[in-house]
Amino acid sequence: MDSTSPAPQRILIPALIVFLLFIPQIVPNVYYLRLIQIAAIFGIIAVGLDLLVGHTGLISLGHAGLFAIGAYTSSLLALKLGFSFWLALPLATVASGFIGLLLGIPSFRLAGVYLAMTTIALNIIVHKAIILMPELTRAAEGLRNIPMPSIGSFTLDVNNYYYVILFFFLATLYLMKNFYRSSWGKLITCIRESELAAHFMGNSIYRYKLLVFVLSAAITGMAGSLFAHLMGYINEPSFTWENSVLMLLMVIVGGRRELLGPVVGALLLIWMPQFVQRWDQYRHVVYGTMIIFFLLAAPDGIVGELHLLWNRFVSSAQRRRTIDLTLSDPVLVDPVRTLVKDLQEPILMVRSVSKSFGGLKALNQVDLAIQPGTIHALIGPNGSGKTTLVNVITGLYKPDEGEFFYQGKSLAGLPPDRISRIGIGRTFQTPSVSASLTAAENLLVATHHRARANLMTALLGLPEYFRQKQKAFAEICELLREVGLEKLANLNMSQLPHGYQRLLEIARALGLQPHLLIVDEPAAGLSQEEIAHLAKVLFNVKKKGIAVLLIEHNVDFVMSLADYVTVLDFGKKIAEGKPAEIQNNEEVLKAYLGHRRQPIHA
Amino acid sequence: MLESIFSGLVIGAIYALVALSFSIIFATTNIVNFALGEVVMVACMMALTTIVTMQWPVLAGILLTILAVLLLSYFLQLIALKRLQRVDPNTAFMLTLAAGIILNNAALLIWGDKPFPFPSLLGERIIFHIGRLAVNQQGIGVIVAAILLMAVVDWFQRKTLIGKAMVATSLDREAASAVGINVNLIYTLSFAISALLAAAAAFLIAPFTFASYYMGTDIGLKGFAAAILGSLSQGRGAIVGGLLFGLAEAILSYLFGSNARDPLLYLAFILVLMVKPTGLFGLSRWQRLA
Repeated sequence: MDSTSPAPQRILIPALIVFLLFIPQIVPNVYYLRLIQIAAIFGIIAVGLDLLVGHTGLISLGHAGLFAIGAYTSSLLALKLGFSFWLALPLATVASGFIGLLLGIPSFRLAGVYLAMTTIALNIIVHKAIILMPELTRAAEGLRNIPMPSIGSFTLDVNNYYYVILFFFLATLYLMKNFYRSSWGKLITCIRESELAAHFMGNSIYRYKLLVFVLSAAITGMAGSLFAHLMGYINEPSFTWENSVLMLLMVIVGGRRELLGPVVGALLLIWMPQFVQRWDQYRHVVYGTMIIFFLLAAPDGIVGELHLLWNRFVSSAQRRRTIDLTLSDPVLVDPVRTLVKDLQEPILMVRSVSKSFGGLKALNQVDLAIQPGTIHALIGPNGSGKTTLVNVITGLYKPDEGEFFYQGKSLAGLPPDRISRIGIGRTFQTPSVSASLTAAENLLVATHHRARANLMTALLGLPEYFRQKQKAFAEICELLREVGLEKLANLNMSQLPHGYQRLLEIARALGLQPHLLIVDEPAAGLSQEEIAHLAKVLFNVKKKGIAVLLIEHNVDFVMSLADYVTVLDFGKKIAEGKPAEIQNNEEVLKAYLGHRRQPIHA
Repeated sequence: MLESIFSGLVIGAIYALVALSFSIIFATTNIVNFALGEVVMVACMMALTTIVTMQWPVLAGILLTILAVLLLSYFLQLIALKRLQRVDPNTAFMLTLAAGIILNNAALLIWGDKPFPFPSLLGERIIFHIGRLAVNQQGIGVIVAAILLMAVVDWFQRKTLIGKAMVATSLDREAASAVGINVNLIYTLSFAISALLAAAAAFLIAPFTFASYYMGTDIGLKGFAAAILGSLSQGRGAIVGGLLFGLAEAILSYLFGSNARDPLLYLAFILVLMVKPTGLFGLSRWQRLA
């Protein structure tokens, strides 16, 4: 299911690499060759920053500080301790990654934009530390005579150091490309587009944001080391947080979420001062104007906009072919696998749970027991506390009082991702799928934590990872078959109608291999045919032995499908029983219809 | 030491004003106006030009400055909230960051890079002594003015109908719009109040720091950090954050010297967030998300 590179890329990329190999022959001028290498180093940084800004949706304004940590670690190791470049570079990478880890620990418990401030704080700390420790860093005067790397007794010069930088440059691009194609890449996309959904798919958002930040910091540290040994001289003005803004600008100008975008941005912004008179006086006006221009007028950046143009040009022929959006029949897959052995005990027990928001009692002493292999409907007028109950069960809200047990185990105090992994899958009232991912990729987010794939094998693109990925995709095909979306696996979610997104959410929740599936108003906004399809899907889910907690307004749908019905009104349970009993329950009629005393004709 | 605490309170009162301006915008729109520091700077330079250079009456200078700052903040709002339907906090942050950079550079081109002394609008007569500490009109005036302003804003947010509409808008934009609140107007209003506080902070701080094109960046960063330290979404938390930030700055400066002050201050900021990730008075992020 993995899309292979289109033909032009297969020719272009090797051609580009060959061209890059011959650059020192084409550019004999040492000044320009060094400038190209500086651009490549900033390209590496910008690619690493795009991992945060573009892909994960986190803004860092402290990458110049991480750059400094790499540069000074490497230089000081080489100058004071005589370490070789080949040892200093990995150590600088690790040092910067470690500082990233320390900073990430407080930063990612906070909302998105806060990271901008903690990273600026880091940058200021690092920059001032350089100035305040002149005996070590020589402050403004700078560290001099940082050695070029040597191989054996042969010391490199600017001409052949180019190849060292080219190697790390291409390696960074290769690793990032693999990362974005892996399930980690899909996961961070999901975190960017619908963080809550990624969390409920069993993933600790905190951990993955931290991982991404450490990766980005390490890449930047490595670039710092490359920079120090290229220049042979570093001093503090290169590492102000103003330069962090420049790095961010490179990503925006070149194009976020385009592998080569940040590289183009770096190339442009490193070279631009060469052509502009009195650059220093006006550079901030230029930077600021560029940020505003690109964010408002060309948010995809230079490469992204070109990409869009190219797509429009190439796919105009393809677009005439209409996409076939027919659903296939839902298939009952592997009914035995998830059957719960002990059918006596309820799968979920909720005991006198209450939850208030300010003065509003959303849930008042609610009890609920869901039996395995049944469809249990939870109905009630708007604002009766249905979704609040779901949010309490799945760990989003802490209940004020009461307890709940999943297969006899208390779930008290567990975060949503843990509860999802234990075996409660859920969907959302408003579908929250990642619009920029395909149906299949969306499911990777739910199976990721179980796949236990190794990040290293994924980054390096080793065959073992592809075997694992094959396995994951086989499972995803089954999930799609269960909801009837298998023919649409490779379509972007943005191309699919609303009802299909609801089906995909169910498949995604099933990807957690749950024993309890909670569906929050799955029939809302669906056509009659889609509702019939949905009923089949849910019925199959039940046949697999998975209990379903169905929250729904559509009475016909509930009555035809549910084994038990619980009715909530103003946060209180007012009735419970078989559908037929509920239909004639006076309390229920009152709650729904006021005081009319006629049974619902379902 | 006593002097440090007093000057810490004075500067803290100013950070509190700036922190509150951050929080007012964040609480209603969920975005950070990162150009606020530069708004403070522009207010300072405008007042300087009108009152000192052009010798206008003080009141006229202040009025013109306020007018300019309101216009500027409206302009910032237009940039940051261009697509009102889907406000992306990251994009808004980067846009205001960019606007701030431009303002900063423009100020450098207009007023040059020298700091100018700024007259004390509150007088410099010494009022009383505590031990060796001489408390002058300016110092007391800053604290009193800041407390008054913040009390007014707090009262406005909690007790008036418009204030309640602002809270409602922050909680649920669509629901607020459905009950007849003009969300656009509320956004404009929160930007305007924020700008007025920034201008007030400018008049109060300039006599201490001098007026220069680079003064805004530092105040903006510290005000933003102070707001996060307290609580970006709750005005009162932001105010306490500002006061604490000012106090910590003065005490660190007293203990370790003014060079080491800023890095230690930011280090303390990060360490506090390690222990209290939601800020000292904030809600957890899931509470906010839900």
